[in-house]
Amino acid sequence: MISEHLSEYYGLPVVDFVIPRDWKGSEFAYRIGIDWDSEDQSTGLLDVLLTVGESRELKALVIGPWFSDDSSEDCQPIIEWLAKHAPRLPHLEAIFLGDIVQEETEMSWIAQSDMEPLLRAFPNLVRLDVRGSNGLSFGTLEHAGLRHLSFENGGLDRSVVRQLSQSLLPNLEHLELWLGDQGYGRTASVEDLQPILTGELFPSLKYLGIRNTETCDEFVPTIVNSPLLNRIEVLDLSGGDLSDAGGRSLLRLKDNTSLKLLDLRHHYMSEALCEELKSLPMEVNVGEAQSPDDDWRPIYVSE
Amino acid sequence: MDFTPEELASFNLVHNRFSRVVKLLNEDEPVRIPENSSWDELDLSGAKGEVELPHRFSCYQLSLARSKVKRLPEGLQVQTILDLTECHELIELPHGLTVGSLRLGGCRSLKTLPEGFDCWFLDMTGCWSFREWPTTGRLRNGVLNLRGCTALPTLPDYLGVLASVNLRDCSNLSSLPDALRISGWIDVAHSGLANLSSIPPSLEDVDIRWQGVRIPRRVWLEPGSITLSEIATEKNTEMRRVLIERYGTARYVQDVQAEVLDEDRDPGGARRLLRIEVKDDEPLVTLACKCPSTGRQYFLRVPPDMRTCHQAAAWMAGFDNPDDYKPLIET
Repeated sequence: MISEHLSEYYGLPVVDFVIPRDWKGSEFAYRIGIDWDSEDQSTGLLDVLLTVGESRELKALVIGPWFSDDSSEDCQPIIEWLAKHAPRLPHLEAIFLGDIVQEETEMSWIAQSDMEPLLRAFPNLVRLDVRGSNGLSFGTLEHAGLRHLSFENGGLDRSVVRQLSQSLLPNLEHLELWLGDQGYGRTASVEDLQPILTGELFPSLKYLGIRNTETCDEFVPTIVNSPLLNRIEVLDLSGGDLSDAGGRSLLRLKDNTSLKLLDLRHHYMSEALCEELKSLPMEVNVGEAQSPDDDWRPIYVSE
Repeated sequence: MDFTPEELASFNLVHNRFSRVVKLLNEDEPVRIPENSSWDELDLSGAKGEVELPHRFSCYQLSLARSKVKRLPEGLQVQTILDLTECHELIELPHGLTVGSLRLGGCRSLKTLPEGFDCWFLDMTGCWSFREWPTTGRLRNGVLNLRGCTALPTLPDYLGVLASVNLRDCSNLSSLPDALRISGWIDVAHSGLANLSSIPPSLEDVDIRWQGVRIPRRVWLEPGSITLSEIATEKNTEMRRVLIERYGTARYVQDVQAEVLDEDRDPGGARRLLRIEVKDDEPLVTLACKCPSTGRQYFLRVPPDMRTCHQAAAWMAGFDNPDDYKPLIET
């Protein structure tokens, strides 16, 4: 469960932007969002942001809720606004779409939309984070600037993985997929990940996150065989329900791997296996251990 | 894919906007895929009519599950999943077929795979005609499921490291290539490997499963070492079932001195309904009877509330009311 808004994004402290006086310079990331009882519109707040002369220097934008009491409204008006006003935001490098916490709406309810106009309008975009995957699409993506792509959600549809597998992202270094729970819309399976795991898609990849995954044990024995693990630095399997059954496969990573960090936080593995894993030749994070005796093994965020 | 809804309909296809999959419009009608077309997800599963596939077309994913296809065109390009589950008439696949995942479960007419095939995931559950691997091929990193490939005598030498291997019920398969490497698990239940007494070198560090249950090597390789008290004190129900099976159900029923609930005779001779208390689980109630044709002794598990041999036999035949079960002949 996520209960806190971002306090930092793209290496910058995040501040809420409502009125022009909130502008503190370009070394801050600005958060645009409306409350459940608000009569404002997010695009209206963005209009206000543009009235600040220095907003041309904006580097990082965090989009909070774009809906008041009807969370089924999708973010298309924001995408359209950003695509239209892109020439006035020439230095915008990072966008977080959906800094929305559980109190505002469940993650699996967040309604996203087609990201293609956004990505086309911002060729200099370096980082894109999207929370929620309902209605999410981005067409066949070609983007030479993008280095960091993250999809946080409670249940990832396989169509998102397919579109990603058909994309051309030659400089992508950080790919983070929250697969989620089959009870909350996940249809992506380990077979769907195969094009990514071949290592042929993203030649610059350094970080692979297959996070927040229910039935994580089914994924890990295949992931450890991926040729990617001979060249990336970080494998992040945190937030899932990894238990000893899948965790033991990770012991194979004792040689022939380039990994510097294996992130396994929030897991259901035994202490004994955690100790064994710590002897692997990379940093292994087995924090946030959950009880392996629990029959009910929730992942970090499902709904 | 750049077809209008009307064009799609003329091929007997429809685009589902919600799932972004192109499906059959009418399962009973023939479907024709145009030459040089390309598709994201093409779902032709359940096609009862003719499926006309051109020599040149490509898909990200293609399903022909439960269709009547016998062959697929040479040069077929499918990037990730080719689903041919339950294609009972399928006899041949294209040479050099390269996909991420090849699903062939229930393709019972298929005797071999194509020369030079290449995939990560291969599902051949219940392909009981499959008996011969091609001389060249690539299968690596993913999951190999051969459950129920009863005719298959070997695994090929060209397998790369695999995530898991399911050999359950591969009764003719009794050895493994030394070069086999597995990162996850292997299931050996009722395979030709079930009777081995020492671990094959390729399985030194591999989790062993029996019908999906992770078991210690000893339960596989030295079933004679399993004791009655070990079975009685095993806390995990699934594990206890495996222990009883490895101990030998018939032997177990005798050694544990089961309570006799009922005795009578059937065409096979004397039969008995036996009950064994099992800690933290429902009692094991079995009908001990002999086959009238072969004379073999069987122990057939029935629900624990059965009280008579006749009631148990009726339940196995699908009768809730034993009075309705009046077999004319039992063979």
